[in-house]
Amino acid sequence: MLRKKSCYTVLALMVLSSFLATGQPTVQAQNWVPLPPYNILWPLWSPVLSPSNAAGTPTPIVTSLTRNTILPVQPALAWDPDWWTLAGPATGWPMGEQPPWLFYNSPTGLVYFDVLYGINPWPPAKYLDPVTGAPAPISLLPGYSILAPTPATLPTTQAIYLFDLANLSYLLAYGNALGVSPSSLLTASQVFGLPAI
Amino acid sequence: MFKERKSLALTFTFIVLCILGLLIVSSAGAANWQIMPPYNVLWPLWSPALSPVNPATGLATPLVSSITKNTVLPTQPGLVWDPAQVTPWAIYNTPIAFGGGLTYFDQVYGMNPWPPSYMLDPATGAPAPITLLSTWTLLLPTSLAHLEYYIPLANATYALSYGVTGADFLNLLTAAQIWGLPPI
Repeated sequence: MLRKKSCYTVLALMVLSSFLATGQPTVQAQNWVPLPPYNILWPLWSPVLSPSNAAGTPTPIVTSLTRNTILPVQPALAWDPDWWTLAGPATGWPMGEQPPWLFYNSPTGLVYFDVLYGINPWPPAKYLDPVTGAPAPISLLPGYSILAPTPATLPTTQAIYLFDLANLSYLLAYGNALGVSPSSLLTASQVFGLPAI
Repeated sequence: MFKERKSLALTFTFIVLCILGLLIVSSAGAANWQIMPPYNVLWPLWSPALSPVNPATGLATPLVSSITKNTVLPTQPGLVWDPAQVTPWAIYNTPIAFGGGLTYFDQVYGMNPWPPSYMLDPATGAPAPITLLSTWTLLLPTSLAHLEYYIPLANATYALSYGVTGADFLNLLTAAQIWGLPPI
């Protein structure tokens, strides 16, 4: 009888430890976190946009992404995995591999760069209720947090072009007038956390 | 038996040829590009920003009727294509302070005054229009995959070359506008 009980205990411990073992990688694999009020995904995988806190957990440098958010460093990167349904089929990008958006501060509020649409004020119209103008957050599918980081899905050449074109466009549109130093803007390698050359 | 099979094959071939002919004729009727004098470069009828539909005729109509050195584009960049080149060029107005006229962007050759030298007679300097194959009416619109990085690069190069900043830079057409994508 006692033997049977200890057998159960061992079995329960085994199940518990296997849960813990599988649970840990899941936590580690969380690459994105939705930011209010639009549920746009913020990269936990970027050391400069989500530095680790005292507990070693990546923590976004902003808590929300609204028109009035002020970015402490720029550009920031954020991603709407649903954006593909608008233009993706025409671009030939596989779903889930479309480029993210890059965000900048401007005198009129946050602006974002899209490689097809250029620089526009944040947020896009589709994130707002057409009647009330209130935020209409993205409906995220299960598993959004473990979607692959941008460096794994966007070819390196495209990633470099994306950052270079976005930074250049921002400087031409706002940065020069604001006295933003080109060297203060983050590069693809900094956002992706690549080691220095 | 053999004769019957032969006539069946002939009939089948005839039907296939008819369908192909119809396809070619219908494609020619709805060409994606229009020839522009005096150099015979092609202008995109498929772009709602560069060839808006004329409400009177219901037809896509180019914003300009020719692409000369002195043409002034009402919106920019325009897009012109010599099909001998892999992809079209983005074309812009040169600011008056820089002498006016048109300038175009090539990914290899950068910004240069319009037209390229091979479209001019080397002796007289008169236009030497390009020769288009009869199949030019079948040419497809430029893929969005090509425009997505080319247009922002062309716009930024143009803006840096001529000091176009702020609202003037933001007013340049994007790849999405040229292609006619719905707003986000």
